[in-house]
Amino acid sequence: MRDAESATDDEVLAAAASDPRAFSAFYRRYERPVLAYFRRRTGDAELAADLTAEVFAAALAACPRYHPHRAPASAWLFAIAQHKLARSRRRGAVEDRARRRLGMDPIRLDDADLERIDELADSPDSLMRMLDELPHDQREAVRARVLEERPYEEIAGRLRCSPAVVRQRVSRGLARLRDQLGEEAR
Amino acid sequence: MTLLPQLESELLAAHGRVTGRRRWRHRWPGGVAVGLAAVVALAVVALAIVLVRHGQASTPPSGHSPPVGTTPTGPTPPTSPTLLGPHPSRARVRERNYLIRAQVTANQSDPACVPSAIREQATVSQGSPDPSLLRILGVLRRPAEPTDKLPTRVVGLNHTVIPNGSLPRVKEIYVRYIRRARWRFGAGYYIVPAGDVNPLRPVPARCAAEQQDALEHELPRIPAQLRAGTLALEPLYLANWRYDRLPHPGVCLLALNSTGGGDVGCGMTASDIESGHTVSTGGPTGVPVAYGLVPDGVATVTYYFAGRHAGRPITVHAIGNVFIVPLRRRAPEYGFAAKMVWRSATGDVIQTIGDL
Repeated sequence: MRDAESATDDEVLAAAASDPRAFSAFYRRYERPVLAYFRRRTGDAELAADLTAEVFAAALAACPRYHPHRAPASAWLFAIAQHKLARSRRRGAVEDRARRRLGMDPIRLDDADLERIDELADSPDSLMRMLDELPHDQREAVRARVLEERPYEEIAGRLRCSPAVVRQRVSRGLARLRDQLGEEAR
Repeated sequence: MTLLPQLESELLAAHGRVTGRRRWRHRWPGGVAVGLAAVVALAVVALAIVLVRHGQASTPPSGHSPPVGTTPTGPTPPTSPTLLGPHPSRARVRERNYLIRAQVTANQSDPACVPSAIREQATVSQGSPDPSLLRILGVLRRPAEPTDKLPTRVVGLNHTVIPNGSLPRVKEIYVRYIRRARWRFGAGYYIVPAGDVNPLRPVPARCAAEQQDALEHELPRIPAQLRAGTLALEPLYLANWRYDRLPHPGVCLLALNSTGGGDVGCGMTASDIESGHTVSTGGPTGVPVAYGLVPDGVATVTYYFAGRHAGRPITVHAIGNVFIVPLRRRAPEYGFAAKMVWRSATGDVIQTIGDL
């Protein structure tokens, strides 16, 4: 893998199974987008933190099975996020199966953490505003895949392009969102 | 910079464990691995037996104290004796009512015995809270920080400004130990320990004897089948009566917005905190919440709502010995808990509190 800064998401995630630095880089790239996504969907910073921890634990366990040609790394991660959110809603509690399986200690939050998570969703109207600012083709692809959970084939039919093109658009769109969230944090 | 550095560290540690496991699986063929696992298991069992025997032989003598400053110990303060219990019989309730009637009779002849609320202003102390509180509230044991300072003016319920600056009306407030336990939804949650949070003014000791005299006079008028029970209940009643008039070391929990407006709840003893009876509802910044205190060791609180439209329970983290449950609706019947479950950081149930 090239250095973590210049490598693509797919390269980083492909290397993450054996290289802890790669997984750390992947985590750093997507921590804020995932937290912001959960904060917006649940309206609760504590739930968002718990769900984020569970998503990254599941991603760590599953990363050896990740294949870049099936889906971009970002879409793969957000698919896990949607799955965890849906399961947690059905059960009425955040799942901790992946974290328990990996023997992870629960994260300890303080009020400053919770406030920072709240700010992710509140201050600049972050994720949805940024989504609106994406180029049209990327915005539609991200919206359909990540928010509406449509399969690539269906989106390709709707957007009149191939599934591979949709994957590329989702990947580029999520990468741009990630960069914007990173810039706001700086 | 990450928002949750602890999560990143946990993931990295887990990464090491996962890759170690993968390497181990890769290196050893299945049969060898199973055999080795059996040998390891046997060794662990043998080691456990040895350790248990060793532990029994070297148990420290009773009375061994933990290090000073971590978990203070001290005499347990008195707790309120239970007079009726959760499901008293009708006869028991009637017997208790005769005891109250005797008290009323005594109070009529001696107005000094009539219970009344404390009206004096707060008093402050430079001392330390009761060990029973320091033992269970870790937030009181941490050093003071600038954010622990109360707003200069505290406005409690009914929009009354609390006199004496910003301190609730209790005795011996340990000002060096006031802590802002949390800052959530734009409000500060302050724990104010005090030497006496009993809201009742003390009454003369003679009042107990006067109640007993009144009961003696009342006895012929009590139905014969209830007399023995009433007399049997009298010592417990008097113990309860005395407890209500003792100083109660405890805390106030203040939920205040930046202008000092909000909720001021006092009267919580260590026993109340440990039994989970500290829940309040309110919301000094317009975000409706239920909140309360938990002792050390409680990491999460699962809050089961009461009522027909209770909805799903909510689990929140306990931070600084305070939990705050955001309520989705503001309604008189909503927000009260039917049940709370306290769990440790490892997810083990510490306590289920049902009688809220």
